[in-house]
Amino acid sequence: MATLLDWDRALENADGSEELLIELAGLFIEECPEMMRQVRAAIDADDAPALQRAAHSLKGSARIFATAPASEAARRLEMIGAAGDLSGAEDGWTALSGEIDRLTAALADKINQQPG
Amino acid sequence: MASQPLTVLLVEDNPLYMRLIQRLLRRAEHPTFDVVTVDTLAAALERLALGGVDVVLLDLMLPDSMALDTFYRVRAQSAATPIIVQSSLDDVSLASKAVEGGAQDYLLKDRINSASLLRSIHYAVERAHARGAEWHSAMFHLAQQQLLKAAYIAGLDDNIRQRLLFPERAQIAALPFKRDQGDQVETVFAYRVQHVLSMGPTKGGIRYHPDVDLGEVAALAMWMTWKCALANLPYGGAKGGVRVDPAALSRAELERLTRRYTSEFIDIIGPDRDVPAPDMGTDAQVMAWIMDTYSQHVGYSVPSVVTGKPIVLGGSLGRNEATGRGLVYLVEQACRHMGFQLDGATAVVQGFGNVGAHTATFLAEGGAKVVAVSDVGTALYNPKGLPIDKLKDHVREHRLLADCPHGEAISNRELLELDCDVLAPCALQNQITAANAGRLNCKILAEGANGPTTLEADEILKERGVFLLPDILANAGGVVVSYFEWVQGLQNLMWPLAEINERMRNILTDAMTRTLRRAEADGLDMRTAAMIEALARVGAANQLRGLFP
Repeated sequence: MATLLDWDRALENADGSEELLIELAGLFIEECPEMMRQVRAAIDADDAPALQRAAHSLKGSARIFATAPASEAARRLEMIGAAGDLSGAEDGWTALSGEIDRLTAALADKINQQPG
Repeated sequence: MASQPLTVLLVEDNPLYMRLIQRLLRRAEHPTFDVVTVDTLAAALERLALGGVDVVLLDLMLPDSMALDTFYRVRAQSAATPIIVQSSLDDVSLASKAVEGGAQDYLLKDRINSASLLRSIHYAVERAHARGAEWHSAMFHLAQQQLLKAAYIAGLDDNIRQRLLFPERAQIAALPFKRDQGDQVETVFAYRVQHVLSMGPTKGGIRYHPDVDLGEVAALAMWMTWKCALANLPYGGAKGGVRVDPAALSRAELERLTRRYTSEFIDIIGPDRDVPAPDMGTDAQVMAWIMDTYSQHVGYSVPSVVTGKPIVLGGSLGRNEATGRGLVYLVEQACRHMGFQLDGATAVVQGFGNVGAHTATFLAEGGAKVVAVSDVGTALYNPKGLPIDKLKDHVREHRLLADCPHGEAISNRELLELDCDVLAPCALQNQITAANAGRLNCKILAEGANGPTTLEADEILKERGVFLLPDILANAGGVVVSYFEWVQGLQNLMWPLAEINERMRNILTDAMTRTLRRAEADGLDMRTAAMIEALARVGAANQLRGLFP
């Protein structure tokens, strides 16, 4: 299994600050439902550019936490959106939802481990 | 820029990056930042219209605009404000296109840290300020954009990229010299720029021209670095210039000016430091005066302080015609690559100075039919082929091609668009632009001049399948034989002409083969491939030497 969360790499992305990374993790958990809603809405509306954009945004966010599976799943949907043919989007959505659930759970654990 | 906070317009729709960048900037102490955040293009344009923004940090994928469109619309709103494009690693071509379009720098989102972020902003603002002053130059801008594009594609180390964007050493002198009318003293601006000091001595010509400025000299010095590195010569790039019209000076005035130039810059030139050569407006005689002045200063003859000297003072056989000869060697190789022979091909040469006239001569010797040539005021066309020797006789006698009877006069614009196998621009920079690149009718574009083609034109030519011999490769013959002259001088050993030409051909052929291999392996245009080939050498040298202290 690929590493779900590479905390050391993620720390580098937050300029070495645990505090900042935890803050970003909290923000991700907060924003994630809305970003996922946009991805879902784009698929439902068969709107390829909107899917590309929404998946791109999710991918960028996931990358901060150096999580290969979630950002890869988002990237696949972004490519589907860019190609304009949404026939593979449902499979992509299933994969993405699973990975994002696991990521948010892992991030929530990290936040809860923090003292205070 | 010490205490005044810089206003950063952060255009970003991803809330995590927005927060990340805000936090990183807020922690900065020197300089400090006011961060204004917007998450749509419309809001960004609105904020820019109010003014007072020092730098824009731009995400290209926004809810109301995507990709390059975002960049061009922000740029159009506020052309003078530096823009730093943020991109992720999988949008390589996007960011490099933005850089071509004038973005000051790029940041990889996947690798943002406060040091690289702050430095990128700081330098982008500094560069914008510097451009507004004496560095302001379209040529320098082009040289920097070419470097950024190649650095981006090659993934060049950040530290090295920032070091290479400006020359390591640049000196300016206000240079006084006596006119022939006894009591009159003229003061002109003179420059010597050394771009990279870590490759060995620096090397580059001295240009006397009324349009010379620091930015132009810096661009030419940068191109010399790539040229030397691509040919594997042990030099960094340099260039010198004097803002003066040499045609308006007498021989005695030119001599006084040249000797004064030499003495102003004597501490930074020398056979182990920086070795000048002829360029536009200077020649072997000017090099002789520089050599004499330098030799008087140190007390013994130092022929290797310059190249392009007269033969009797230690000049090299073949140096005078080296750039044109080298260009034609490469054109022959390019023809073979394209599946035809130079013998019987048609050619057009823009420019009839040292490079243009020799290029036309060697093209004709190689069996090509040179159907058109031009100089500063005249373009001549003859579909049956021009008699190059007679044209040279005419120019020897009348200085210019004007009134030469051997062809039909056409415009410079028409000349560039003529149907031909080989087009060799050997005159000035900025000749092939987005405006005319679509109308060129050549198979091979061989750049005898420095910087004749803009980045936008590069893209058009690439799409149209024109084979490009980029300047840093195509006109490197001159510096290669200059290198031979320097080596011969240091050894006090003279080589025969055949050996010189053969060695030059080997060096150029090798450089072209490496460039072609890289272009084909990585799907790059020839200019970017040549730049990356050169950057790899400069980058490796810088890494190995480390940084003092």
